[in-house]
Amino acid sequence: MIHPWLADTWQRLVGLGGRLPHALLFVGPEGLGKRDLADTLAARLLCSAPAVDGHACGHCVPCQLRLSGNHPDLLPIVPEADAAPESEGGEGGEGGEGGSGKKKSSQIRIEQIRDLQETLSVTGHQSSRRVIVVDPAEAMNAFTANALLKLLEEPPEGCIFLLVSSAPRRLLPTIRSRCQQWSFSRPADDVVAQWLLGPDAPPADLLALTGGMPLAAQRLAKSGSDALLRRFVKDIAALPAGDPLKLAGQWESWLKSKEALAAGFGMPQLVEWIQRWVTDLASLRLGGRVRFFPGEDGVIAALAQRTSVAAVTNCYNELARIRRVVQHPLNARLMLEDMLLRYARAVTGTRR
Amino acid sequence: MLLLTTTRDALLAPLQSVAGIVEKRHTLPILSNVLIEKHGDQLTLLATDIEIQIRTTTGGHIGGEDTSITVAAKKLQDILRALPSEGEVVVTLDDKRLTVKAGRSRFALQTLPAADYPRMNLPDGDATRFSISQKSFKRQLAQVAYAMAQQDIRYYLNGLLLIADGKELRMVATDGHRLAFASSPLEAEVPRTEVILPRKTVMELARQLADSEDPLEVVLAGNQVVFRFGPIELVSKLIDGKFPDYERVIPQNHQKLLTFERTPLLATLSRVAILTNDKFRGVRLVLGDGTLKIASTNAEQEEAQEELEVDYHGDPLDIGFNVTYLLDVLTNTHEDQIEWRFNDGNSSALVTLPGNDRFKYVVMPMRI
Ligand SMILES: [Zn+2]
Repeated sequence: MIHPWLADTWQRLVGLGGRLPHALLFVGPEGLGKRDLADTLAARLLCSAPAVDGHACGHCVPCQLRLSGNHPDLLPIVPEADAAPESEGGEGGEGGEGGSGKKKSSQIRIEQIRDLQETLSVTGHQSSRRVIVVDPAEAMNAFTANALLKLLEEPPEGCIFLLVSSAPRRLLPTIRSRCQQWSFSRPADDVVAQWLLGPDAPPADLLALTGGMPLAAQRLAKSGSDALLRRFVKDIAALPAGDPLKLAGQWESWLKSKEALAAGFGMPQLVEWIQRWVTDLASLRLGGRVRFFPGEDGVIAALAQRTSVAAVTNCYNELARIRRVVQHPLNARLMLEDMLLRYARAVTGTRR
Repeated sequence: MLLLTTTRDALLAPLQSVAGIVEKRHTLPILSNVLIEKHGDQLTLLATDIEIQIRTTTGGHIGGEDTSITVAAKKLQDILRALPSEGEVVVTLDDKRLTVKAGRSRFALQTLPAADYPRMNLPDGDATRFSISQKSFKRQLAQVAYAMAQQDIRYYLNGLLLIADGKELRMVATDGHRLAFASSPLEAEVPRTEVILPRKTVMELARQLADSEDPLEVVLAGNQVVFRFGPIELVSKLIDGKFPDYERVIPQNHQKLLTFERTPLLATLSRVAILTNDKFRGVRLVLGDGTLKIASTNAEQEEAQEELEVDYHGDPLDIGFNVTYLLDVLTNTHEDQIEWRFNDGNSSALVTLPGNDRFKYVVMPMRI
């Protein structure tokens, strides 16, 4: 299935036919479906009789093997942490995962590339065509990337490499220059508006919260995060009247609640939401518009009235600093208290 | 539905011949299964580790409709091993469960659909085919297989070069320090075809081929090679790479020739090897008029020395070798007499068999 905002790209890829280069790099923000596109292309490349629209047929022997997860020539190279059955590459926002499952590596290890080299040193299984999907490509350190580079430089016959990255600046320039780059940006409003009418579409406020990334919003909706989002908005909007320390305590237990765990909702996401909330506040204060919480513009406007430019930008910078350490908080409660105190100071401080 | 009634051994033996390659852990979980296929009055078993695929047929009474299914290979093997060897075994398939019944025992195993099992496509179209006795092929493999590299980053060295050319079959293996070459005659003429067999395939063939005159049929296609012998069909992928030009490695025109008895030299080297350095395993050979002195020392300054009388009358020579490389060639050849040619202490030596040029072994000296 190709998402409507990727339909043109898909047509161009299919149109390349046999002129498809041996290494492609899909870049663009999380939540656009870059990995889905790579998987759909991989399926097409392995299928023995693709349909007219370019999609894999779904019935031939290679398709059957692929659909049961047993195609020996489809070689996904993903971090161990992403290899779990249901997750597929991009997760909501850069923070994504909560604190659970820490032990599994979020990096692509050099051993994975060495195993790949070994696998590719012998001929293919169904034919000489093999498809290697590397996602996210930025999860390789320099050693690992250099090992992959050797393969990109001298690709074994029939191999096609599909690299996916949301942070292409973190890739080795040599890797980038070996790949044909395909960039994706936020889909046009009318395409998304059409999609929002469809059956699987997420609520519009979730789409705004993810900065207009449709699949990121869909993942939030599917994980049951919209209820969490409503609670977040209610709590943070009420804060100027409440006690930041008390709220920090409530949120700490909230993060450990069943609903939060079930939705994969953790500290990184909560911090991201707080930051986006403050971003909207600052943006409005500076004469811009509300971007992430369009449904709450009234509340945010009221809060903006109470704060000063200096206080809100200061708060924004402090949160940005905190966010950088969010993957390794010393203590969740202290971190929440710290953020909420700073936020409360910005919105309840004297207006100048 | 009844699949098969047979004795334990009649099912266990073919299962073992395919299940040997099944790996315990694999990225594709279905590969720990064996594919059982009933077609007419034949029941075939098939297993693969992705690089190699082995298929064989079983004996016994085979009934029911045509069907195919996959089941955990090791579990089935363990169950059969634990049953009495001559007892009757009944295998049935019902409701996606494979049941093995023997006496009062009954085992019901989970299955996975055969359609999900990645089978190799057999080559069709252009291929080079020849037939050779199992014994001859197995012996030729043994003459060179020990010289293959193991886990070398030059992955084409982790295999064996097989060349069918005219009426000759050549095999070459090298790890960069020594090279073994062996050739044997073919009955019918074939177009020149070269492939590199993966190490694991070579080991599996060495394990499964019989020391008999029974034929081995070999089909060399672009992407894979098929070996058929007895009831077994082994399909192997090939290493994709360029093997070094072995002819340039084999030296010509040696000045010094030493002819010796294989068995006494092997015994001597095995004794001297005890006190070699664990890592480099170097032995020093000093060749003089009618004598060969072999010596070793290890890191603890312990020493071993032995002297052999040999038929040699050339200039004296002092040369060092990795003793493992010498033991390998002496263990894997079977002739009584061996010829050894040298130039000087810094250039490679050549081991051959007297009176034929079907075997060559080149070994680099080492500085002791
Ligand atoms: Zn298909």
